[in-house]
Amino acid sequence: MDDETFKNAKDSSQVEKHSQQELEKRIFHLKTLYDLIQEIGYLRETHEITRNLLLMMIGNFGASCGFIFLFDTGRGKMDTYSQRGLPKESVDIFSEKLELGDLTWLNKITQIETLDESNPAQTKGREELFDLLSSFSLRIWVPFNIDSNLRGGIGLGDKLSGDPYSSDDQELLVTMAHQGAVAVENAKLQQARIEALEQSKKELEKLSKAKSKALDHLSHELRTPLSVIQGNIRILKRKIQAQTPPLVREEVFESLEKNLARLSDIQQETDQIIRSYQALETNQRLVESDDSQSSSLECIDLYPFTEQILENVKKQAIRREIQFHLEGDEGLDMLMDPKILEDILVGLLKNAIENTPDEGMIRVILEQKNQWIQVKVVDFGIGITKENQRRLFDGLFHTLDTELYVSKKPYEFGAGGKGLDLLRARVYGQRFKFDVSVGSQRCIRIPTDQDLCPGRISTCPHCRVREDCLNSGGSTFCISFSVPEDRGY
Amino acid sequence: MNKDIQVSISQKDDVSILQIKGDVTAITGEPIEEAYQKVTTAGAKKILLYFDKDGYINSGGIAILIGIASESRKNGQTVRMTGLSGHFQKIFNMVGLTKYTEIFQTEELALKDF
Repeated sequence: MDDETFKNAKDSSQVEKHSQQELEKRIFHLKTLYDLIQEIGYLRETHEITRNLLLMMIGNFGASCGFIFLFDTGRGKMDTYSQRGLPKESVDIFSEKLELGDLTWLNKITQIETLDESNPAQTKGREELFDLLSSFSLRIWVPFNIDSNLRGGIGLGDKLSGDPYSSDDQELLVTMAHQGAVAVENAKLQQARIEALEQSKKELEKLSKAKSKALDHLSHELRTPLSVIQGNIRILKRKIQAQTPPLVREEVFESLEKNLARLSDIQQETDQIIRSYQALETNQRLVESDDSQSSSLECIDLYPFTEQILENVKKQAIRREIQFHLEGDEGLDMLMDPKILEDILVGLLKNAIENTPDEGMIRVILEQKNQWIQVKVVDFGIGITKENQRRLFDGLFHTLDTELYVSKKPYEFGAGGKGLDLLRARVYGQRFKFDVSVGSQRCIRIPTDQDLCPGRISTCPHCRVREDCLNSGGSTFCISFSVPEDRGY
Repeated sequence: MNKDIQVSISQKDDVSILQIKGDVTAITGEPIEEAYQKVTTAGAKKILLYFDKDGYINSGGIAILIGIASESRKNGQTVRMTGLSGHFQKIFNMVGLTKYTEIFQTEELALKDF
């Protein structure tokens, strides 16, 4: 190979090597653009976005140092800034100057600027700006503006490689700055949305407290006149009954007393609901006489405990023709205040009984699923409509339409299905860290609240056999207690 | 990019070895900086950054390493690197990081004559 050929081959090889390097550099820059979205796209804090943006720029160009800032011209305050490899003092002086109202530098950084000390013509008339770049050891400066108020810049120092910033580099820097600006803008918008939501939540809480206070007041105010009327009726009844023949028939008093008793019940229930809500709001236990004592945790053998409660409840519902089944794991035990567990179970069983027609069935299932011990009360009653399931635990909910189902004694079908018991379970759940959930299917024969269940399967026009009812709807209330990890189940 | 990173510190003679497992990014770079500060406070003068061959290093991560390399100069420390794939060796060379640190193919070579 002669010299000429050798030289050409060498040149060609160098060109190829250079092209290869240039291609690799461009691929790396494209990858940086892609990674930048990953690094800042999901961040919600401006200072995190700007910090990561600066790091990505420094790493991409191999810059010796860098500085990024955003100044809020509306408030006259530095919104955020971040620096790498710069003396902290110079950054502080810069920030102070801006906050004191000297926006000279900020106003001068309107376009991409590069500092070339070897070119005096470039600096002529712009000495102040280049003094700034020089004092920071910055070689290139890009405006970083979010809107007319939030303005700033990004500066990078010399490249470690010693190469100057090319026009391609400048273009890439501007693109990265734009990406950063979009991310900051999104984060600010998101922040504004969160703040607006929090404000709405606070206002709603305030309104809810005011409503609760008003109800509390009304409930208390009702108690006194009700007691006075009850007392007066008793006196009147005694006096009138002493006369012969009685001026007023006994039935009139019975009706008066019955309705007064109903009013009194409503007042007491309202009172309890308000107390439960207050407890829920303050995350405290229900303010009730038997709750005033501190809870006493005991190791409860779940199966016999539930069996005993079920027996007691069955006695309360002796008039009802309902089959009860207790099933599941007999070896489960848990640490819990027995009074509270009893309260919850009785409440759920009562709710199930009041929603199950005679000749129906209720199952209680005890089981462990992974780290959860579950107590399920399954009824094959009328079920709950989807709309009602949403407000099931608000304390004011009755599974039956009380206008259609006349008020009855507790445990009777259609006695009302006390929403209070469910609210109480929720309050306890929040305090003692257990979960209460419900799954329900409204009876397909009576899909709306306005449709009536006769309360006995054999009188239902839709059921030929008992199974027709059992398969038509029902509800499952499930309480899930977390098992401590050190328990050896 | 994986957001999990593990940085462990070990000692071989007078060399502090920072073993880095996981992707090095702007977000995951902090534990590396902390480990560097820790060995610096303990008086380390020779530091070996041992990367995971399967790990990814993005520009944010490179900036973290530039920071360490630059600080090590001020502190009179020597920083070497190993475990990098060929691709990242090229990238480190491209951004000029190799002017501050040396890259070695294996841990043994990196520790030799440190």
